[in-house]
Amino acid sequence: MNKGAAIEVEDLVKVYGDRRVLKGISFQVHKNEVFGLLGENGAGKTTTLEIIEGLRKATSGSARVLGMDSRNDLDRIKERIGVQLQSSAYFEQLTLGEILDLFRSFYRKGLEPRELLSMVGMEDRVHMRVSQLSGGMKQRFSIVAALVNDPEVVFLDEPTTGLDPVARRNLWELVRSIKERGKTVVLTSHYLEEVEALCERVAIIKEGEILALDTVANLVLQQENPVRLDFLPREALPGEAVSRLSSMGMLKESHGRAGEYTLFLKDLAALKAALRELEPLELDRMAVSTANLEDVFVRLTGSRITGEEEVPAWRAAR
Amino acid sequence: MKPAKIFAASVKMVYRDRIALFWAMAFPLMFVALFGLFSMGMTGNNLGKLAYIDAAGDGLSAHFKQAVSDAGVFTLTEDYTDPEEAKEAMRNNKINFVLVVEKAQDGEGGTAVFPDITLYTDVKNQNINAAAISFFDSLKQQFYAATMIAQIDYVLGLDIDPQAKQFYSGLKKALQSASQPISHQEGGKNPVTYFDMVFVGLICMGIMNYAVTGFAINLATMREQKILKRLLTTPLPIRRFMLGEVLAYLALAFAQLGIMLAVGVGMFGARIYAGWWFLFLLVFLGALLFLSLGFFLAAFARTANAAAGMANGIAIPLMFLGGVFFPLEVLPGPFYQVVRFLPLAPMIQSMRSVCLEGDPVSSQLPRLLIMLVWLVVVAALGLVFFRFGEE
Repeated sequence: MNKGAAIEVEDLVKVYGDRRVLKGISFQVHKNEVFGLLGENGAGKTTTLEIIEGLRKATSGSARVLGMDSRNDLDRIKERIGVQLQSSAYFEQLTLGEILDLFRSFYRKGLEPRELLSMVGMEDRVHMRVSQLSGGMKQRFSIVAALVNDPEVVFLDEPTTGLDPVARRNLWELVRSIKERGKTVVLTSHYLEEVEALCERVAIIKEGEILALDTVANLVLQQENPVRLDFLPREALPGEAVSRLSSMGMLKESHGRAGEYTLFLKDLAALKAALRELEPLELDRMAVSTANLEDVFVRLTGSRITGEEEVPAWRAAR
Repeated sequence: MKPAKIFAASVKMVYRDRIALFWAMAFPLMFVALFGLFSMGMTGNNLGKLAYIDAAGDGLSAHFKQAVSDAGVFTLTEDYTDPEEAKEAMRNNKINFVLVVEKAQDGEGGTAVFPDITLYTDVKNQNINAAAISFFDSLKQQFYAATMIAQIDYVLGLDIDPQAKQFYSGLKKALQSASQPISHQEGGKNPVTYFDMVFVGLICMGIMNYAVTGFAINLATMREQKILKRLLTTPLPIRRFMLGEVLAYLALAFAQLGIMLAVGVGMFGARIYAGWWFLFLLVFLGALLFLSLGFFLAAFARTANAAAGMANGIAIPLMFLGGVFFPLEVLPGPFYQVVRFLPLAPMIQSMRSVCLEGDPVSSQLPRLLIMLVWLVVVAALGLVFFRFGEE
C-alpha cells in the first residue's frame, strides 16, 4: 500500500446486463491533490465515483479509501469522506442552516452551519430555503454540505455543469480553497478548461477505460507533437504545400474557423522548418503555442468533447 | 440526540409542506363541516317546510291546521294562497310540501263532512315523502275516529235500549284503541345519528388519505431529487432516517385526529359514546398500515407525480369501498364478503362498533387481525421492492 495514497482503485469492472460500463479501471489519488476524471457523458466517470463512495457495487476489482476497503469498511469510510452528487437537491422544506445541522448530526464530528456557509460568503442566508438560491449558490451550498463532517476526501461530481462562466469561476475558487484546507479532492468534469485549471493530475476516460493518466503538463509534453502552429492563408493552400507541411508533423483543418489550419510539430527545429515553408504565402493570421489538454483529448479519444446539450440522445441515455 | 433531531426535522418538513397539509387537515374537515351542517338542518323529526293553503276556511279545517301545527313535524307557512304558486315554489326548493284543504264537493248542509285534503310532494324528496304521506293519513284517521266518538257519545247520551248502549260503548272502545298510534322504539344501545356514523368514517378516511398520499409523494420526491441517495453517502443508517419520518407522520395523524374531534365533536356535535382508548389504538394501527401502503406504492413510482396518481388511484376506491358514507353491511352479500377485507373497511367498522354501538373490544379481534395482516404484508413487500439508491 502506498502511504501517500488517499484512494487506490484497482481493476474496477462494472457490468450491467451485457453492457460493460467499466472495463478495468485502475488509478491512485495522492493525498491533498485535486484529481480529475475527464470524459464525455456516459464514459463511466460517475459510476467510478459511486463505486468508490459505496453507492454501487463493482462487478470485480477493488477500491480503497484512506486505506480502507469500500466494501467492508464503508461505515468508517463514510465518516471521513464528503460527497456532492450530480444534481442532488436538498430538503425543500428546511432552511440551509437546518439542513446543515441535520447532516452534521449524522457524523461523529463536524463543522457548524455558520462556519460552513461563511466559507462561501453565504452566512447571511442561513434562514433561506434551497429554492430561494440561484443556480451557482445552490451548487456552492451543495459542495459546502459535503464538507459538513470536515472530511479528508471530497468527491465532486460535475460540480459546474449548467453554470454560467462567472459562477463556474467562483466554484473553482471554492475547490482551490478546499485543497488549501489540506483535503483531497476528486472531481469529474467534461469541461477541459476546468480540469486544466483545477487538477494536478487527470485521468482521461472513454467508454469505461482510462486512456491516459498524468499531470496536465506531462500529458501535453508526452504528445508526439507538443508544439502547435495555427495559420490562416489568404488564398487556398497549394497542394504541394499541404503535402510538405503534412510530412513535418500533423496537419489538420481547424475546427473553429473555415480555411484555417493547425499544424502539430515535434520540436522547435520542426517549427522553424514549417515557418520557412510558410514564408512565401500570404497569411491573415498566425499563432504559435503549446498544445493544450483539448489537443491531447482529441488525439486520445478521437473525438472533440461536447457540452451536455449537444450530446446525441442515444448517447445521453446511456 | 440523533433520532430526536431527525424526528424534529421531519416534523418541520411535514408541517411546512402547505399542499400536503391541506390534504391532511382541510380536506377531511370540509367533509365534516358539510355533513355537520347537513345534519343540523335535519335536527329532530322535522320533515321540512309545508305551505298550508286553507281553501275551506271552516271550523274543522282550522282544527286540522292546529293539529298539524301541534304535531311539530312540519314548519308551517301560510304565505301562499294560490296552489299553483305554491307548487312553483316547491319546484324551486323554497318549500318541501304543499297541502291544500278544500270544502268537500258533496257536503250539502251536513256539519261533519270532512274537507278534501291534497298533499303535493316534491319528487326530489323521496326519502321524506313517504313519512309525510303516512303522517297525514294517520292524522286524518284520528280526526275520523274523534268525530265518530263524538257522535257515539251523543247517541249514548240519549235514552236508548241497554243492549244498544252496550254495543255503542264497545264500538267507542274499539275506535279509541284503533286510533292510538303504535308504540315505537329505536334499536341499538346508543342513539346514533347518520352524522355520528359518517364522522367516524371521515376520521378514518382522513388518516388513510394523508398517510398513503402524503408519505408516498414524500418518499418519491426524496428519491427523485436524490435526497435518499445523498443520505446513503452519510454514516446514518437509512432505516433510522425512515423511523424518524414514520414517527413524524404518526404525530401528524394524531394532530389531525385532534382537529377532527375538535371540529366534529366540538362544533357539530358528533358523538363518540365509548372506547376512546380503542379509537386512539385504531388510529395508530390504521396510520401505520396506510403509511406502509404509501411506502409500498412509492417503491413503484418513478416520480412524485406518478406517486400522487397511484396513491389517489388506491385511496379513492378504498374510500368508497370502505364504507365512509354508508354502513358497508347494506351492500349485497357476496360483494360485502369481498370489500370487508379491504384495508379501510375493518378500521371504520370496528370504530363504529365499539365507539358508537358500544360493542365490546373483544368482538373486534377478527377485524384487528385483518388490519394487522395488511400491515405486515404491505410493509414487507415495501421493504423488498423499495430502492433507496440505484443498487
